[in-house]
Amino acid sequence: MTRAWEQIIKENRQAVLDRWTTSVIAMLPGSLNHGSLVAAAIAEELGGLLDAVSDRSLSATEPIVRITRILAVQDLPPSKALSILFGLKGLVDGLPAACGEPFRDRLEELTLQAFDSYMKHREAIYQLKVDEGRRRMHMALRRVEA
Amino acid sequence: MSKYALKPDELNKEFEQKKPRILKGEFAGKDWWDLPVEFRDGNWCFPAKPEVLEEIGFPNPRKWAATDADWQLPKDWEKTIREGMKSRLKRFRSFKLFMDTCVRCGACADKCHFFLGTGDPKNMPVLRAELVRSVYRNDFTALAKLLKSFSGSRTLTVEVIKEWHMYFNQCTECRRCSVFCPMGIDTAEITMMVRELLNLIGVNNNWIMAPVANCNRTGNHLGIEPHTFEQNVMSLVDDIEELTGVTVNPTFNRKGAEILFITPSGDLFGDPGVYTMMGYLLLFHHIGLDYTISTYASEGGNFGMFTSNEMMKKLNAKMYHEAKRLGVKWILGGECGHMWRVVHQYMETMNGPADFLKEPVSPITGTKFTNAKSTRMVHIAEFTADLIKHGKLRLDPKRNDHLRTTFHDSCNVARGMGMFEEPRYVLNKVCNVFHEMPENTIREQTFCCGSGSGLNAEEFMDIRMRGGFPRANAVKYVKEKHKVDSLVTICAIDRASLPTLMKYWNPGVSVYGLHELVGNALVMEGEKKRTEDLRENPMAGFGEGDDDE
Ligand code: SF4
Ligand code: SF4
Repeated sequence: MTRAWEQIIKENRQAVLDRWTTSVIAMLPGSLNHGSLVAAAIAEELGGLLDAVSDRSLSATEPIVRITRILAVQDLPPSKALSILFGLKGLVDGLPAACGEPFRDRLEELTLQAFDSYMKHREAIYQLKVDEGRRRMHMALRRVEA
Repeated sequence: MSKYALKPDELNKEFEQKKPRILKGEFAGKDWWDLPVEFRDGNWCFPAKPEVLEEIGFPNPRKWAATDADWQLPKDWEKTIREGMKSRLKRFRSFKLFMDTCVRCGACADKCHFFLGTGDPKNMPVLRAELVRSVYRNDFTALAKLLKSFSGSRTLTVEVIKEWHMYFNQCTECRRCSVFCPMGIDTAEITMMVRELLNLIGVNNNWIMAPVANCNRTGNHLGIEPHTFEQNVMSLVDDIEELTGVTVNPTFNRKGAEILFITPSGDLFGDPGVYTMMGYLLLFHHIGLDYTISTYASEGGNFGMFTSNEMMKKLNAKMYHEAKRLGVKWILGGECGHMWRVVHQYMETMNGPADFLKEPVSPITGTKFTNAKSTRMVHIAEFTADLIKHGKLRLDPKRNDHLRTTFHDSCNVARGMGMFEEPRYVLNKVCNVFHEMPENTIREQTFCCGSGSGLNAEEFMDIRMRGGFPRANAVKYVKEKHKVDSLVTICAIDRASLPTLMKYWNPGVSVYGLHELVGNALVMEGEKKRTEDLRENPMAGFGEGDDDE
């Protein structure tokens, strides 16, 4: 019997995570971003996300919200930002062919979740612009609304 | 040439060896400056409207956008930039020094919040400065003329201007990098110079220029006229009465008052600035201060600082003019960041000496503010700290028990004037729960909010969220470790921009001005039972059913 893909990821967690982190950070502009705080934050969040990918008993919601919060304001097109989970597929060594499909299904499921979350963050950015404008005009609006 | 001088190829070799990795062209065989600059939604601020520039007589008014291929620069723009640079190298010795002395040690490289939050190498202070230094070397130094092959110099092109616009508008002039530079290079001053140069050819930012034009016309950033200004303050007076039962009595343009109070106009118009204003009004009433507010010098902030020295000087002049006209003894200044950089570093030489004013002395405690001897203007945090130290305020810090606080040092007050302890002293006397953020993110190493120096435009939100990431990350730390939910600050731009930053990165953290918390804690004579703070949020343990203390 082939081993489950979840097991393979767990056994090789650090190696997979390192490769994944490197590939995601490489998407950011510039070649020196490894030393930046945003790179460190991405690395941290990817660890949590990887655990949730391979263990359904862990909630993926929080890691997804956190990583998409970072990605939604980077200099990256959404298609690239949201490709991170699919990118994981090619990074796991020794994945038996039979595992391909269930693994892909899991990544698809989480990508759709990530899409929702990414969109929420983008909407938050637009809402923040509106709110900031209102806060700036606080007294004028108060007079108008009185 | 001296026989001891290095030969061109030796010099070149040394240069190659010494410069940090980033300058060595690890960009697929290209030079670092060949990395393309691309303007996209969210990474540039809208340019000044033509009518705004016409109003203040700034050059090249036109309709354009950073995403346009043709920026419609004036015909002889290269000459303007070269001559502008030449004149500034002569007039500002610091600029010349900063162009010449960088040893490329790289100590500043990872200190800038824009680099840390974007990962973009051109946001390393050393590279940011190199963007202009490379042109300087080419055009102004004998060395580059002698050594044609000397790497690190380049000619001035439209692409260079675009790059300057991109990266000198991703520097908030916060000076964090300068703290770590062994040569004392202040990239903020380089940014100021480059923004001046860009303004000479009409490359600018409406978020900066519109407040400048408004300030020039009516005295404040929003262009509010005197009667509206006064109405706003008076409606805050009504709010105070409703909440506390106490009627405070500010006066406007009153001749013969002892003190002129000037604060950024955001405190009179914006949320949460207005609550800080309510705090000042309560404080002044509490101690019976003889003060007045001017409807002409109605802005503490000075966006002129982000355009040109001349404009900064012009907008600043109203402070002394008004103090003289009203015949006050000295000026008290509210919570602001860049206002204090202008006041502390430039005002006295630009518009002083203010010998018609007296050396500031607190009328309540008798303390002489000798540090303000030359400017004759005292920071409210010092003033209040002195009052507390002398036991002149009746405070109940429990009234802020609904808040778990931390303190954000505003760059300009912390690094620009070295004030670290006074606001902390006040904060610790007016609230019971306070936790510092990590050491390398506070005091002189404080991280900028990411929106300073006129970059808090809404259309610039993505960059602001990236630039503010290091600050947000430090707040996240105390939020998770100590359940901090209140970020206290003494800067109007922080009060405007940090709520947005917090809502994005750290939902659940609110932003407060220091004197708002002072206002909450002040036990006023004749007050009614206080159950709500100045925002009308319930105080903990002061509800209707709770015992009076
Ligand atoms: S002054 Fe501040 S924003 Fe500008 S380069 Fe230095 S650290 Fe960065
Ligand atoms: S720390 Fe100072 S000397 Fe060193 S690279 Fe930066 S600006 Fe140059």
